[in-house]
Amino acid sequence: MKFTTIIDNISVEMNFFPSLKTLSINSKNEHNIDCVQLGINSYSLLLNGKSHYLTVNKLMDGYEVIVDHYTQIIKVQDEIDILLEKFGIQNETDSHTGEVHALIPGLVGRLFVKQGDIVEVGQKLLIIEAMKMENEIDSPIAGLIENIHLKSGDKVEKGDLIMEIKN
Amino acid sequence: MFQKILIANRGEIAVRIIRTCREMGIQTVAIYSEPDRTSPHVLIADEAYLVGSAPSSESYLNVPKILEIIQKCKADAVHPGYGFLSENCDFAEAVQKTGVVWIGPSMESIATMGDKMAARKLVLKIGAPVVPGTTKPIISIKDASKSANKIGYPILIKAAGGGGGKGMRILHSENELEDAMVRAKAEAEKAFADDRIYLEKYLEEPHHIEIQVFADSYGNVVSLGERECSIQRRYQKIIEETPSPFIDDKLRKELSDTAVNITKSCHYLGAGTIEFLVDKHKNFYFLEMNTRLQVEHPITEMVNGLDLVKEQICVAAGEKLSFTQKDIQPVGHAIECRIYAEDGFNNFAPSTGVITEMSIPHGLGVRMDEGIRTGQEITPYYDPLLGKLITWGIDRQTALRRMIRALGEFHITGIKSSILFCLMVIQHKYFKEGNYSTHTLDLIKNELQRDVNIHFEKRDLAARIGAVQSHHQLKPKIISPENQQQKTNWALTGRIDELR
Repeated sequence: MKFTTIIDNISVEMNFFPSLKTLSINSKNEHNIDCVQLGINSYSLLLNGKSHYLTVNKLMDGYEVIVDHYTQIIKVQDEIDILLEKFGIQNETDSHTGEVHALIPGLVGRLFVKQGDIVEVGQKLLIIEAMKMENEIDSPIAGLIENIHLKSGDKVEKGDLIMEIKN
Repeated sequence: MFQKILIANRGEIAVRIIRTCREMGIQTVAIYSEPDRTSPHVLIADEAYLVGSAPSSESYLNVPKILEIIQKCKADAVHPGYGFLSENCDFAEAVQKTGVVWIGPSMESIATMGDKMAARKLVLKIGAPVVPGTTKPIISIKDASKSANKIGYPILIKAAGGGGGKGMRILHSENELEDAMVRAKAEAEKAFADDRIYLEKYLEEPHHIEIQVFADSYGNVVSLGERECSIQRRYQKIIEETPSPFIDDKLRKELSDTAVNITKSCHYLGAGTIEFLVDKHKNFYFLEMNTRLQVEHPITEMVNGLDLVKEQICVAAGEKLSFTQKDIQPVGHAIECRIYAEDGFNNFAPSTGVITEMSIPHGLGVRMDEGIRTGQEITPYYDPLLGKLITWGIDRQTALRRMIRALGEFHITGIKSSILFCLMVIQHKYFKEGNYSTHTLDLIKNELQRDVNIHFEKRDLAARIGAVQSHHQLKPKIISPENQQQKTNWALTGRIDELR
C-alpha cells in the first residue's frame, strides 16, 4: 500500500508491504517495521528494532503524532487521495485566517476591541480565563473586526468562534 | 488521635493527605464540585460530599457549605491542603468555633504571615533582611507610581492575600503600571478573594530557596532543610530539588537559623515554609512565609525519611514532634517535576480534555503523587497541576538520571502536559551542572525549543509511520450517512488492493 506523508511541506512516499512488515521510502531504503496498537490512541512501534511509544490524535486535516513525547503534525494521503489530486480534484480548503477561535475552554474576560476596530498583528483582542490564569488572545492578522460573537462573561468551549477579522 | 478528617481540597494534594490518613487509620471525608464527582480524591476517600458547582467560589471556596458538611459528617479535624482556603483565617476561625480542629497554624500566625505586608514588618523587627518594597497595599495609580519610582524599576506587583505567583507581574517601566495593576487585582481577587496588591524590588539573577520548618505546641521548632525552587515559569515553580546545588553549609545554616527565628516569632504551629531570595552574591532576603503544606514538600520527605502530613496531623492533635533538630540529617538528593496540564512549548497554554490513556513511571527511587486517572476530564476551572513526579538518589547525579528515566516512561494521552518540557530542562547543561537561577528558564527558552526540534527530526520516520497506521485504521470509522464521499473512497481503496 502506498501513502504519501507530509510534514512541513516535505513529502515522503511510503510503500508498505504488510505481510513482510517492511517499508520502503521513496522507492528505496527498506525498513523493518512492527506497529502494534496498545490503546485507543497509542501504539508500540519497533522500527528496525528500535522501540518507540506513539500517540496519535486525529486532527481536522491530518494527524498529531507524539513519538516518545515529541509531537509532529502530519498529513497523510493514500492512493485515492493521490489519484484525485492527479485529476485536479481537491478537497475545498476555505481560508479561515481571519477567524479567531478559542484554543482553550474557559470564560471570556475583558474584550479590548469592538466591532469596527482596526487591529494590528499581535494586538491583544481579549482575555480568556482558564485554570485561574488570564490567557491573552492576540490578533493573528491585521485587519478590521467584522464580528464579535461573544461578550465578557460568556463561557467558551475549545474551538468556538470568538470573532472574525477581515484584512 | 482524630477519628475522621475532612480534606477541604481536591486534586493531587487531597489524594496525598487521604493516603496518610488511611495509613494512620483515620477516616477521610472528601468534598467535591460537580465536575469532580469521579476525581481520584473522591474515589479513594471513605466518604465524599458534593460541595457545589464547578467554579471554585461555589465549591472549594464555599465556606458556609463546607462548614455544613463538616458538621454533617462529624469530622473532628479539617486539613485544608494548599491553595483554596488553606491561608484563609476566617475559615480557620469558623472551623475552630464549631469545635473542630484546624490542621494548620493558629489564626494569628495565618493572619500575620499570610498577610505578606504584616509578615515583612514582623521580620524586619527581628532583624532579618527583606526585599525593598511597599509596606501598605497599593490602591491608587498615583500611589503605585510614586512607590514604584522610589523602589526603582524593574518592580514586581504581587498579591497580598496569597502566593503561588497568582496575580504577580514584572514591570519594566511606568507605562505598564496601570494595565498591570488592573489585571493583578483581578487575578488576586479570583485566586484569594482578596484584591490587595503591593510592590517589590525585582532582584537580578536571584535564587528562590525555601526552608521547611515544623513547630509543635511544646515550643519545639525544627528546620528540615532547604528546597531549591529557582526553575519557574510564569513565576510558578515547576522543578524543585534538595539540597540546593547553589548554597554551602554556612549559608544553609544561616537560612535555617533565620527561618527558625521567624517561625518562633509568630508562635507558629505545624508545617510552614520560609521563602528566601538569594542573589548571586549569596545575600539573602526574606520573601514570605507560607503557613501551610507546600506543593513541593515531598522532596523534603524523601531526603529526611519523614511523612510531613503525618507530623502535621500529630502536632495538630497535641503531640510532640517525632524528631528534634539533631535528628534531621538529610540523606541523598531528591528532585520533583510538576506535571501540569499545559503545553510547555506553546507559551504554557493550559490544556483541557479527557485523559484517554496514561502510564505512570515506577521503579526504584520513583514516587508519583497524582490527582488524575484514565478517563478523567481536565476542566478549565482549577489549577492545572495534575501531579508531581519525585525521584530520590544517593547523590544528585543518581536522582537526576532517575528523573530522566522516569519522565521518559511517563505518558499522558488526551491532553498536553509538561512532561516533555521538564525532560528538556533537566537535560540542559545548566540544570545538569546545577548552575541556574530564577532567570535561567527565560534565558534558555530558545535553546530548549531548538533541542526539541532536533529530537523531532530524529523521530520523523516513526511519526510518519504512526500517522499512516492511524489513517489506515481510522478510515472506515469515519464513515457516516452524511459523509458519502469518504465511504466511496474506502470502497475504492479496497478494490485497488484486490486488483493488485
